[in-house]
Amino acid sequence: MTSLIEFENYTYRYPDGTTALSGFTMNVEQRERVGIVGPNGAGKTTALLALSGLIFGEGTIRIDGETLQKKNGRQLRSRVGLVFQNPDDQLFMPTVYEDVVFGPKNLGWNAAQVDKAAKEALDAVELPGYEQKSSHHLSSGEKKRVAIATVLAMQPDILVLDEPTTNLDPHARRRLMQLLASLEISTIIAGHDLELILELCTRAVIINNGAVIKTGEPKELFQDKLLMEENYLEVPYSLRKVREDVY
Amino acid sequence: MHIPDGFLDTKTIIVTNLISGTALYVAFRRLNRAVSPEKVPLMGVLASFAFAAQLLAFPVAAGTSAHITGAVLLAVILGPFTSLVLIAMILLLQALLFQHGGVLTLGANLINLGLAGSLFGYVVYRIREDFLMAGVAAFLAMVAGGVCAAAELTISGRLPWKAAVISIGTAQVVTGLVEGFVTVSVLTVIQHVRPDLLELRKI
Amino acid sequence: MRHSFIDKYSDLTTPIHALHPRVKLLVFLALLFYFAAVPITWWIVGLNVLGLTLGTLIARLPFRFVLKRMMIVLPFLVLIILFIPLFQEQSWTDAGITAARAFCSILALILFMSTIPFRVLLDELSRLGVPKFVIQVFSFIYRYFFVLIDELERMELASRARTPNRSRKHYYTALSRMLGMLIIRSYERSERIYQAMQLRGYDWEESEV
Repeated sequence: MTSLIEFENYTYRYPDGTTALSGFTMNVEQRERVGIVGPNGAGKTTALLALSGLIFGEGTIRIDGETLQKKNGRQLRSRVGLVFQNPDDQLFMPTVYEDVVFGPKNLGWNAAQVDKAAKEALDAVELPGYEQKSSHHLSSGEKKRVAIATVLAMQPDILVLDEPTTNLDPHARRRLMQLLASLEISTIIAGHDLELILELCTRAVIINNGAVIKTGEPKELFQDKLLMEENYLEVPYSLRKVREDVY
Repeated sequence: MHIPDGFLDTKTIIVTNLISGTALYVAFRRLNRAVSPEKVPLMGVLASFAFAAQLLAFPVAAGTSAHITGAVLLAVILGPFTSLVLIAMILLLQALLFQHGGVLTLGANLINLGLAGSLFGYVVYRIREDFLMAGVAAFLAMVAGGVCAAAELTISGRLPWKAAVISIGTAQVVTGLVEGFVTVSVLTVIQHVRPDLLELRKI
Repeated sequence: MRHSFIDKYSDLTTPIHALHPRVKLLVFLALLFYFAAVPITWWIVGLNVLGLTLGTLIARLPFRFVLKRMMIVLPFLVLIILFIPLFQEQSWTDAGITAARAFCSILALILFMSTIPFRVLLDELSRLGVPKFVIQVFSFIYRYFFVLIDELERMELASRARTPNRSRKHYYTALSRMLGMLIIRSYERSERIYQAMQLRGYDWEESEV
């Protein structure tokens, strides 16, 4: 069986010559939740943008067996639901409803389908009745969930979240975690919230300098103090055994 | 210098709107031919920028303050016609949302800010394309806009010409200095941080 | 927050709010033309002020809110009144009538904009044939204007926190550098927004100017 997502020896250089990804290789299986962790500048966001067909480098990315290329980028793109770190960049329409239907409308669905998709997406993120609200007046947690609804409405194969818990208060973060746990969809979560990845993901990938350092079960990886510190990470609080670990 | 409704007479309203309407039509035609997809969010966000920047008060003297318009700045970055269209949109929104300026006086205000800033200012800037010239252009544009405003009010029979030119002109010299200073500083910051933004296609 | 009054009262349910947006738009424009063009006597001024005041009452707009928004025409009035002694053809009556025209126009403008949500106005303009491109840019402005104002206020606060005793030169430089950074951030934001649009299948052909 083919993996849902495959990066194979993928390399990306920015126009100014900086290498963001070099020989990046990883995969995501169907119905799997994978966490990508690594220091700032390790290439997390670049990998997500490449997967969404927004930037193109050397090497191969396959989505459900299909190779992502410039010519099918637009069509494959809609199967990857990327949720940006800052929901203000993703919610660009005046009202929640207009934002949620933006994608479905562009996919050419008819009015009934568009309406149904929007309703289902808002129900899924537990924000029914928010259609006419303006994004500017929402809380950070609500904005994040609307942003997730805008991509869920397009019924993607995979949900990809970049730093999903930035700017969320503990309560909003907890609700988001429950929401992500309840969605039955393959998910990639990138970011620094190791506790979240520990709780939700079955697999974690540590990356640094644009390449995969190690893949494995989150608990196992995150316990490895040396590995974590070499990659500018930290053993999560919940995995520390003795107080000496706290300094 | 946004003229509110009620300060211009009928003939001035008609003439100024005809002039501005024609200029906008030409600008739209130019944009229509050359605009690319990423320009829509760019124009929207940069117009929001100019709109927000206009709310920033630069204290001048005796409790008065100056507001910048950014017409020359936008023209230098995005080109004169894009700047003109954005200024027109900002003027409409300012009138509707902030009651700053009027609706029937939109034509007159677009002459004073848009034609004077985006077009005349850009022509001045093209004489020698450097930041100092952009500052000079921004200053001259504000003064020219003030003279236009004075003329509009005089033709409408609201103010004597001399008094109008002297009072509005003085105010515009001061705001023009601020506008010129801000234009040069903002361009310098851009040059320093993201010089590629000065290389966009200008329409 | 310098933008909290926008659309503050536009969601009320009163007979004026309930009017069809196109009717409201046409009545509003007709009123503006009327105030600009029709020769005005004091009787007419009185009637208009009475009518518009009644309108604001029916629309349940707070009096202080309306008065505060009206004050924006004052500098122009002062300018005109100051120069009356120098202007032979102009009399106090003329100045008064100019003031009446200005106040009636702005009252109509406030009444109109406070009883129609901005989004509804855009929809109506779009139906009246305003190009889609213009409507799109307007909705972007309406969405991001607030975001940018808040960003600007945060930057202003940060700069104030670091410069307790600022000279004017310092302040000007700080403000302009702030604007420089804001325009760059805005540009970068527009790039991310464009990516967000592409991700949701933004099709250029369909939304051309």
